[in-house]
Amino acid sequence: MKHQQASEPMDRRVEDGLQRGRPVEIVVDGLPVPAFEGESVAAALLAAGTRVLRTTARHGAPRGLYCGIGLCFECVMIVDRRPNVRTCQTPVRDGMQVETQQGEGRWPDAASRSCRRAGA
Amino acid sequence: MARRRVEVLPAGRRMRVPLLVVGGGPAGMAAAIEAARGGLACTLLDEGPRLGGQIYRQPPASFRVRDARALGRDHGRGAALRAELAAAGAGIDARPGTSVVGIWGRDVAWVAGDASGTITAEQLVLATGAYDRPVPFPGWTLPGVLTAGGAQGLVKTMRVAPGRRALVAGTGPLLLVVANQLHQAGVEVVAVVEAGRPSWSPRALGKVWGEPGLLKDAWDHWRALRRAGIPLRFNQTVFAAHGAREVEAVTHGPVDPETWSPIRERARRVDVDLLVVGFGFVPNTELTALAGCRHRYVHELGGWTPVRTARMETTVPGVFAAGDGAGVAGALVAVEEGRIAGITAAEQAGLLGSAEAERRRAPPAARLRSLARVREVLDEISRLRPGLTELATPETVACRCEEVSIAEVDGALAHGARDLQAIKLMTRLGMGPCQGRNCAPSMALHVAHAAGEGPEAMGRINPRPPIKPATVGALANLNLHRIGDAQGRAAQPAGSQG
Amino acid sequence: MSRAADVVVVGGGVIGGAVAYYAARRGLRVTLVDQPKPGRATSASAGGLWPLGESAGLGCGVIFHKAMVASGAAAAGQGPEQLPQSFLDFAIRSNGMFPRLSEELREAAGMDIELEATSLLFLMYDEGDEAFARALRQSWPGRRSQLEWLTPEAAAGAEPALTRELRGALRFHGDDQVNPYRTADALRAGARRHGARLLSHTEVTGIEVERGRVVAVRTRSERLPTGIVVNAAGAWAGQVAEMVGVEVPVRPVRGQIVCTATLPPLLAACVSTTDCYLAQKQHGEVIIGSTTEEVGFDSGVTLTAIQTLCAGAVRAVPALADVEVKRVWSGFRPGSPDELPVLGPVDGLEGYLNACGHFRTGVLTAPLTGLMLVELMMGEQPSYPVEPFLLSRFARAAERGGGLARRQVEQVEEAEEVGGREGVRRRG
Repeated sequence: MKHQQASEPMDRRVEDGLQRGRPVEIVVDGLPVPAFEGESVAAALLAAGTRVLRTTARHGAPRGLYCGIGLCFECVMIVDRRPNVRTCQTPVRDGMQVETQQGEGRWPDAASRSCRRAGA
Repeated sequence: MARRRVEVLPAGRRMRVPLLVVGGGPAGMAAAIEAARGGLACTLLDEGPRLGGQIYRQPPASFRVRDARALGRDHGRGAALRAELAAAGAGIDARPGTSVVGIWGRDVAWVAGDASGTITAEQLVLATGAYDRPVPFPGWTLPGVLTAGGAQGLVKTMRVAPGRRALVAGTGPLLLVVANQLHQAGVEVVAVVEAGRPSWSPRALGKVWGEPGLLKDAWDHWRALRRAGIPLRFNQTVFAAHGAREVEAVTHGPVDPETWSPIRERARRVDVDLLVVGFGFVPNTELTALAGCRHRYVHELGGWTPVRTARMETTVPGVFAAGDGAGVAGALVAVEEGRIAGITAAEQAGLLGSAEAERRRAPPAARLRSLARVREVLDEISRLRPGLTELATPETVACRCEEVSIAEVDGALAHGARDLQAIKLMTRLGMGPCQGRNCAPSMALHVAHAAGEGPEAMGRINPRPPIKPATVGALANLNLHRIGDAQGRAAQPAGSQG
Repeated sequence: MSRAADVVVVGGGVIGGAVAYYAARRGLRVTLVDQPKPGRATSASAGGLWPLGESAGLGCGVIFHKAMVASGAAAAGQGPEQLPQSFLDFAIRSNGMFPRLSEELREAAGMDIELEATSLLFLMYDEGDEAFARALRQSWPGRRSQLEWLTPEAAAGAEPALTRELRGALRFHGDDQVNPYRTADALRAGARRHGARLLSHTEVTGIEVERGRVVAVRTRSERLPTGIVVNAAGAWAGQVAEMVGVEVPVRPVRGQIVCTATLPPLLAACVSTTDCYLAQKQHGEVIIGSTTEEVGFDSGVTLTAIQTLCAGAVRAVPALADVEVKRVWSGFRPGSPDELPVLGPVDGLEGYLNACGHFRTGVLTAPLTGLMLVELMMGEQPSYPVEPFLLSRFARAAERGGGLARRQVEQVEEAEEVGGREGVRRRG
């Protein structure tokens, strides 16, 4: 997943018409990404050029923003250790931890429940 | 100046209100305005952080608007409506950030984060809006494919360009608007491809002449596109999106003018990283369905719509439906329908005499008639033709949430599935988080096409609560003061609870 | 098609599917007629295979019992109604058929019924729960090896997601789970593979009887000549039985289910508490159930149930608080007066067989039901005695006032109306 590197700053933000809120920083897959108070996580990632937000459970297919109104659940990521969070509906917060979600994601602390069940 | 309380409703207390308006977009705001003007106090709930719905969506509160003109005409219209709301009196209790998750008779359950509660409303206006109609085609699930509504929101309210180079495809005037907005945001729009073709017949022109404002809007957008050198092509649509992890290119081409069947031999490929698709909208009718309203399938209005009187009342007395959520017709229609609903609610509450109510309903009713003529013209251009169902191939994803392919849907049909419910059980189509919103409308058409029947014969994926996301924890907090959930028993009389 | 079928099965849920499958596999000419109806139990079910648990009154039994105690309709000390030994053995036998059936269906239908060896964990919240669990262990000396007592520490180790506020847990080994509608699908597909004819979305409108024997089944568009009809119509079995002038006392008993979003693995076992049961299905959703309500054929869901089940779930598995509820639905269990299925022939009518009234355990007892029905059709000694399940037992019990379970349900409903809310609130 590409984030802005020091050598190729990307900011797809449009400047005229609005003055954004206070600048903040979120952490995405361990890397800092600048954002502005009031933006959705998805918008901040989009501004940084990141559009692949998760991969699907069945086929591992890349998915990202689609409907933008919180209805399709394509934009879900693991946010502050919670999986299945719709990033288009979630405003950024300074220090927020965001991770690309693989499939259903995972729980923050439990060891993998691999003891689950072979078919009898 | 209305006092608009913005804190969350007190959780865990049952509230009674004379009028509850669900949805704070143009229809809901207009209903609240007219109800308040008629002396009927109302509570207005909206799931967004600020009022406006989708079309009149506001930027986040921490953004400051420097130049409203850059935000487009709709922003101005939304601001005007909000000013009306503020001036309409103290009787409007607006609660953004609140989702309605279900309805039982007149009892409405709401969720706001971890808080939840119930409201009992003597009358209801359901103004739940609509969402972008899903049209599957190869590659439609790739990151970089955005709905027109989604793209518009990003550009207008977040002020972020969703890509560098875009193709805009679909049908309807929204394509022009979005293309312009993308262009002004610095996106290179390579073309706008409209599946339909406008008729410049005198009759058609005569119908739209009655709405000079709309005509001017359309003209302005078209002219802006021309000045920018953005071609507008008719009877063309997207065939496929390509890319390893994101959109890198799009194939598009001509369609048969009658059927919109893709003419693949003349397909062309263009390098873009953004594909914006807009094929109209589908009304959100979960609440009207759960409220017991009768529905019928009207293709031009986006599918299943509640049956209504001219006064916006559904088949359930005291329950009104207005705006795109009752049939897709755009923001201007939504406002007038909302006004009529609000006036009628005040009348039925005994606060407006019928002569006065008639007098107040006359101007919005007249506007609706005028707008209806424009709708006829637009519907003729943008009525979805069955050929769109041919865009999808067997490998195309039908259900995005559960990754069910068209081939699997066809397999279920071969195994005897005859309606959406049966397909759902066999394939898991519609069992994901979106609960069928992004697959049921297109699969109803797909299956109908194959079976030679109308899409209404395919049934629906029956809506069930919660119709909006709600956590287990939030629902555990529903602090009900009575058991006696009405089924089979007489509803208990209004108590002093809450 | 006028070629006679050997047997027509009315109802294509898990029971009808099982009967059709075993009959077709046996070489009989089978026609299965199914009209899906809203609220049919197979697709609403959580899919638990809990022979020990259900027989002991776990799952819905303890939830129901707690409500009855709260409303004064039952004494706290005695525990939930337990099913008779004949049922326990029947259920255990049927449960034992699943592994082989799963393999057969994988081959015959190419489908996976998602059979998982989860075991069932009963959580003890308080002394009453503990006493109940202790009594269970004592009343089943022969089953001791299948029951495992877990201390709070052991429970935490086995299931990290469970609340720590436990006095312990009792594990029922061999109580597992399956995907219920997938199972029904696979049975139907397996039946078709063995030559059965499936008429889906088709309503049976009548059954023809001549001189005391069944001669045909009628649908809206067809007359199906046959010598045997099997009533596997679930909650609607009473209506089908009426077509032959037989009274089968099956009535719908609604159960509501809360279904979460798809989650990473959270629970290895199925969990039973006095508030709710929880089962994480193979796909990842957690199913939270259920209620026991007599509301006719009202397939709606209620705020009370949603709130109570969600509260119960959060109590048992705190991490669920932040998980989204995807959907709530309800289904109609086919309830019989004594909670046992109604199987086999009826007096005075040849060619009519019951396979209905399976109440809470239709999925679990489908394989053995299917097998027994086929054996009865062929005039063979069934693999399990059918006597405890014959319709005629109700005539014999008529003097006792019929529906014991029904009476209990009515008492609870009354108590709730009058002021039993505290009981419900306490569950949360």
